[in-house]
Amino acid sequence: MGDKAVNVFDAEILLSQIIDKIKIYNKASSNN
Amino acid sequence: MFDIPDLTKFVSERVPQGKQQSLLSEDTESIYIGLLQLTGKIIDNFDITKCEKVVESKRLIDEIFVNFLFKAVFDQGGDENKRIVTKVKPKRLYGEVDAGKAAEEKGGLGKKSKDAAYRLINQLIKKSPLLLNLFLEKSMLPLMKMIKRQDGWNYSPPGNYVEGRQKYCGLRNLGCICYMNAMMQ
Repeated sequence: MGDKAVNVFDAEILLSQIIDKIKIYNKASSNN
Repeated sequence: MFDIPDLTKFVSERVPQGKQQSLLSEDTESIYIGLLQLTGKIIDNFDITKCEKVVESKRLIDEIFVNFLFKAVFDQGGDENKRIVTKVKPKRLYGEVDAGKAAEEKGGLGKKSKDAAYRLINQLIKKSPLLLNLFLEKSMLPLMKMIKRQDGWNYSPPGNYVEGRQKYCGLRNLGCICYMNAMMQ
């Protein structure tokens, strides 16, 4: 249970980071 | 299964963070698609209520829809005179595909990225009613408002039709929609 909670928390961080990257690529693509 | 800490490290370290212009390289398309697919996998494998909170707070759907898929439409949106008219021109449709190809060739985001983006949005709104609502409200509704409605029917001949003079009459074919016209008529 504890492990799963850590996993979910990490997944949130990962998801958040990925979304930030997607935003960067969108911005770079529109500037091009 | 994911090794989350490793993956987090990989995403934060390896995906370039440098100047935005220098991000666009030959690999741009595949990295972008990879990020979209990874998001899809996370949504599939982890608690959707936690994931939807992140997606909602980061406005992911809005970001993909407004700043990527329909960027050209939303950029024109502010100018009343340039509003999109629902008249379909076949040449324009083919042109769009070519533009996608050209973008891919120069290392930009092209048709494959769009396919991946549509797939992810589809996955998100299927999985979560909350995200479906958000999508309709924040992305789809503004897009629909930007599409100018046709004032009247576009039929042939216009108005002064005298029976017998003209062989055919009915809705004009806007391109590739003759089957629909036939059904409506």
